[in-house]
Amino acid sequence: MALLELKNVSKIYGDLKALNDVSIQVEKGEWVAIMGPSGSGKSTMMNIIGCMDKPTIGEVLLDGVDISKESQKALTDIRRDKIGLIFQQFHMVTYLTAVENVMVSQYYHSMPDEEEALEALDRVGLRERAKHLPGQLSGGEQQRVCVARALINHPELILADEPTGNLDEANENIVLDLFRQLHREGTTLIVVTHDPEVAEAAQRTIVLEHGRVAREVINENFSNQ
Amino acid sequence: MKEKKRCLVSAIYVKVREGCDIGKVNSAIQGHTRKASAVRTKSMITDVSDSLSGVSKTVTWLIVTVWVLSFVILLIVFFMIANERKKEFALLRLLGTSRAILGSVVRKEAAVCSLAGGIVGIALAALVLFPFTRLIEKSLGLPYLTPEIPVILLTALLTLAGTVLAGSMASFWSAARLSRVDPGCVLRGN
Ligand SMILES: Nc1ncnc2c1ncn2[C@@H]1O[C@H](COP(=O)(O)OP(=O)(O)OP(=O)(O)O)[C@@H](O)[C@H]1O
Ligand SMILES: [Mg+2]
Repeated sequence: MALLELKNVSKIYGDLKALNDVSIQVEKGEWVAIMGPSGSGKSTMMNIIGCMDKPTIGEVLLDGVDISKESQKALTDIRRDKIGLIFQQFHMVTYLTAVENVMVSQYYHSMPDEEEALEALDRVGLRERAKHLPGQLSGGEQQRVCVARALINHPELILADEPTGNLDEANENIVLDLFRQLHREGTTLIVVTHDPEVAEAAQRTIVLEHGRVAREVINENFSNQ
Repeated sequence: MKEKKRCLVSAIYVKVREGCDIGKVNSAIQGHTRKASAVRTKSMITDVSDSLSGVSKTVTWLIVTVWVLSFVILLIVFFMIANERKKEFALLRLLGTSRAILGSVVRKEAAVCSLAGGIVGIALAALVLFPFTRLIEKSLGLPYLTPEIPVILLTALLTLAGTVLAGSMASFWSAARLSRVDPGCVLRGN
């Protein structure tokens, strides 16, 4: 069974169809890139998959559950238990240190565990910056904290909306390497990107245009030993 | 500078037994003294107490006004803070905070802030009032008596409770607004 299935999903704002009859499937453990020009509906799709928004028409099955029919509260629970989110802009709570930002995510999931949070920071190479505030971290470091925060609860699905959009080459590679690790561990990854290099790291690329799936490209050269 | 000749008045109060005829006592004293005169001062004291009750009425109204005003200001402040922190709370929602928890976080924060504010305010008031009792007495020209310690403590406690209550109530509206923040707006904000 697919982990995620969108069936004829449309999202309509007034007379603008941000998503227009989109049907896609993502298997468990798959790594998918989403590309497409600005305004093609990529973020809209991520919002719907991430339980932050509901489609106007269509079904969204996540682990067999139709999340387009669930209540706000149920959606919050699903998001907390199954999904890790990474954004283009590194959204950190500004008055909390790096490790505390990671622990916030634990707090609403299970129990804050500083040791575990520090290990997650270690994975992104930031253990020694754990006590720094976001303002004292570079953009790339903040994004790596966000990755640590997204993976701390071992989500089945990681959604990343242009995770490398504001990063330099070095940090982009660190984040991509983390994605490779997560993929090896069996995490499902959906990554929105404008960067062909980031898309090439994935197994399959879905291209959106004007709210429709224009084409899908399988990455023949994909390898992740 | 020419010094003005001041006319000094001294008074001796006479305590009488309950139910005693004050007029009789008065004339009895009058009969025994030559240079001093005995006056019944009941009316004088009532006058003072009347004007004092006028003052305390004004003070009561002042207190009510200050409370109402601070409540309104708190409402506005919480509203502004809520707008300021929309993004932060949307982020918390994204990280899996339920609306109920978020609302209670806001209300608790407001309660803690009010408590801290109340304590600081009361401490400041105590700091100003107690060392300067004599000064106040002098400038008022009236005896200024500090109430007994239990009364003071009770007043402080009630004030603190009132502050926390007002702060919490003022935050309810903002808490409700914030808990309804749309978690998707973080992503769309990009
Ligand atoms: N809340 C909204 N109300 C109205 N229109 C919206 C809303 N959210 C998105 N849209 C519109 O839907 C379309 C798709 O937006 P979306 O954010 O999904 O694009 P995108 O593919 O993520 O673009 P970008 O690459 O620039 O991030 C755009 O035309 C956008 O203006
Ligand atoms: Mg977008």
